[in-house]
Parts: sequence; structure tokens; C-alpha cells
Amino acid sequence: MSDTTQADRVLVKRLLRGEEEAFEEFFRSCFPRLYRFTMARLGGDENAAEEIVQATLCHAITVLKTWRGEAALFTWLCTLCRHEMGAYLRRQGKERLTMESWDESPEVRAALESLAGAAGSGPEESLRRGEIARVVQTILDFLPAGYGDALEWKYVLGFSVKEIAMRLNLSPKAAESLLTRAREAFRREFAAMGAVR
Amino acid sequence: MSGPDDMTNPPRDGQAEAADPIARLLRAAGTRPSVPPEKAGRVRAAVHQHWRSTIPAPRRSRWLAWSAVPLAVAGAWAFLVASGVWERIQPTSPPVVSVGILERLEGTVSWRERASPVIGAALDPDTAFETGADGRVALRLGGGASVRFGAGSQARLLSAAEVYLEQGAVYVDTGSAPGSGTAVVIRTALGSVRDLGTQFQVRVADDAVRVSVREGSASLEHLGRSHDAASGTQLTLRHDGEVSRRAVPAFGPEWDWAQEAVPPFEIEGRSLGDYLDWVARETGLSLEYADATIVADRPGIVLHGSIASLRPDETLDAVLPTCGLRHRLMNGSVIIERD
Repeated sequence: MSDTTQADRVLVKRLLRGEEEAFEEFFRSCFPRLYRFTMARLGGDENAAEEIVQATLCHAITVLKTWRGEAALFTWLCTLCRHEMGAYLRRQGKERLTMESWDESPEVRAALESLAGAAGSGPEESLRRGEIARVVQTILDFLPAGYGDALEWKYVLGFSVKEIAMRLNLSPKAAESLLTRAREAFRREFAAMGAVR
Repeated sequence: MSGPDDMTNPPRDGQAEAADPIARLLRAAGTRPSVPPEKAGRVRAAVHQHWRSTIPAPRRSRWLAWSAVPLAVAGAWAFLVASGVWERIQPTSPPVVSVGILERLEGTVSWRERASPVIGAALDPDTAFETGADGRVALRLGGGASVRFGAGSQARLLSAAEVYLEQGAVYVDTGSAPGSGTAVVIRTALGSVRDLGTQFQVRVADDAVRVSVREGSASLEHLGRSHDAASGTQLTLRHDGEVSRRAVPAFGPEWDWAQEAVPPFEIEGRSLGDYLDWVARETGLSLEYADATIVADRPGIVLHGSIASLRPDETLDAVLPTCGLRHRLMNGSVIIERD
């Protein structure tokens, strides 16, 4: 069992015991990522995203006991969220095709391949295209809890390891170790999307 | 482009980081979009309510939770029950998890997406309101804290321990005994303020958030950093992230508006000691006694009548003469002496 799934199992047990802090941790960790996940698939419709994410999380709470830990908690939430989006789109009378998101489309796959092929010019130039930036941001959202934040704090916002350690309530050594694992997880996910060869 | 192996290990110094493919990739992608706080607040309140209705709190009933609040709350409940208000607000359908009860309403207050509640009404999560230039709202959160909103405030109740303050001022009193209630968090667009057993106020203006601590301490959290403030300290967080601090007295004009929103205090049948402790807490003044026998008499003197509609500092002139006492103010203290 992965560390992530184990951590998720502990969190779910605490949620089922009714621990207030567990709810805070669950919401803080999952809500922003799920909101972005939904926004990306609904063309930026904020109101629809709010409604769908709320319905998803409430449904998840209702069926929380059925989560067996085969997949990460966030992945499971995304599955529930896809169902909620499908139901929402059906209510709106929209075609299922509109559900196909940017990160599942052939165009984005091609863009990723293009990025991988832009070896001579470096990643910044290729990343001018917003779609690619969103791929990176989505990968951050799908990393285990804390990894995406840590990478963003370190490399985008320029926080020191010590500052990251303070934010995560870890020792500097533990934060450094987490950053290393986060980099590895990011590299693996990025490679899996065909962007790194 | 670098291969996967090159992307695994973190760079050892700044120069290496500049050439680090992951660092460059992440920087070029930028920060992920944040969620508007209002949306997060609304969804959180709804999901939390659903969670609580699905999964009960661990071995702690609502009544037990309420029993932890200070004596004054017990008085408020007794008042509600005695006056019949409690019966009227008792839910007849499955109970809705409220975040608190309304204790006082003054002046103009607009309630968003709901009718104006009556005094003593249970407030649902996501209750939002706006106070006018003469408006004041006082409520008791489910965790036991007394929370008051000043004029020109816009706020939303996120849970029994969380309030989102968009504009204006909020005063929080989490109880005389530190840790007696649930920690309260005041969220603002700039940062969050967490109580550490205290009386404090948060004021949100266009350009800054100000946290003034009267008693105990509070913590202002901004971009992952915590700034602690002890009693007598005011922290100012500006939009550019700069944090400054200065001394602030525990009494005086800075706090007067909170006195004008104080929840009702029934003195009928209460001891002089209880009353004076309440005055001291509400005004920020220290109690001193000119005569040691007054201290000895405090518990035995029982008060009668009402001080409704008076500010706590104004009640001294009305109450003390009935006990053969008077008071004078000196350097932040109220000195009680024989008449």
C-alpha cells in the first residue's frame, strides 16, 4: 500500500469518527483541487463548478464507508465528480462530448508531445501556451496531498525549505525529504503523460 | 530536454536551480488558480453540515458542548427557556445543525437570502449579513464564543467556529477561561486570525487587516506565516504583505463599539461579584477595591432590576449606588469604594 493511500485511510477513519480536525484537513486538501478539476471540464463555469463540487463532496461523505482504498482518495473523488458532471450536463441537455476535457483530448496530447520535442528551446517557450501550463497545474493537483503545494511554494513562490517546513509543520529535514519525493512524483506523472521522454 | 532522471533530484544551489528543468517548468506554469473564498466558504458550510448530519461528533453531544461555555451563556439559555423563545425556535423537523444563536440586533442589518431572524434564533451555516452605519449584531457561536459585528460590516458564518469577514469589524470573546470553548477563526481575504483563548477584534478595511488583542493572544496567519499578538498588541497586515505592530490599550475608543453590541446581561438575582466581573470583561478595565471589606461582601450582595439598553460602563452609575457603593476611573482601572 502506498504512503498516500495509507494516509488517506487514516484520514477517512478519522472522518468517520467525526473528528472536526479531520474534516478541516479533508476539505482543505481536496476542495481546491476538485474545484479546479471541475472548472477545467466546464469551461470555467464557476457557478456550475461550485454546485457540482458541493454535490460531489456531500455524496462522498454519504458513501465514505464504501471507499476501500484501492485508489487514492482524491482519485475516487474525481470519479464521483465525473458522475456529478455527467448528471449536470444531462440536466442541461448538453452532449456527452462536452465532457471531454482538455487533458483527455488528442490536441492536448499533441501539445504535450510538442513540448517534449521542444528540447532545443527549453520548457519556458513551449509553456507560453496556456494549455500546457494547465497540464502542469493539473499534475500538481493530482499529486499526493501536500506535494503539489510544496512544489509550488518552492519553485513558483520561492519559499525556502525552512519556510515550507513551517507551513507543513515538519522539520526542515522532513520537508526536504518531502520535496524530493514530490519532485519524483511530479516527474513520474509528467513522464506518464508523454511529456518527458 | 532533460530526461526523467535529471528531474528527480533537487538542485543543490541557486545556480543549479536556475537550470533545473522541474523548477523552470513549474515557474513557467505559474501558481494554480485559487478558489474565491466566498465559494469555498459556501461549499464548506454545506458539506460540513452534511457531514455532521451524517456522522455525529465523537462522544460529545451538543448539550455537552454547550455546557462548556461560560456561565453567562447558561444565563442566556435560562432566559430563552423562561421567556418561551426557546420553545418557539425548537425545530420540529430533523434538527438542522446551527452555528450559533442571535443575541442582539441593533440598527440596520440586511440578511442575505433570508428573512431577519428573531433574537434567540438558531443561525444556519452560511448565514450572511451586512450592517448599516448604525447596525450592530451580537451572536453566540456554537463553540461558546461571543462574537459581535460593528457598523459597516459584511460577514458570513462558515461554521460554529469560523467567520468570514469581508469588511468592517468583529469582536470576539472566547471566554474567561482559556480553552473553555472551541477555537475561533476569523477569515479575511488577506489572512486568518485564530484565537488562542482571548478577547480580540479584527477590522478589515480597504487596504489592511488590523488585529487588536485585549486579553490572551491571537495569531494572524498570512501566506503560511503566523504572527502572534499578545494582549495590548495591534497587528496591521497590509495588502503588500507588510506586517507592523503597535501597542493598543485594553479599553477606550478602540473598543467602545463592542460595548454597544454587548449581549443582554440579566442582573436580577445575580451577585455583585458576578456583575463587576462582567463589567471588567466588557470594558477592559481592571477592578480595584478601596476597601477589603467590599471584596468580602461581593458574593453576598444580590442585585435586582435591569440594566437593559445601557452600555456596560454606563451601568456602574445605575447599579453601585443601590449597593451603597460608587466608582471612579483611574489609569485603566475602575476603583470601587464605599459611598
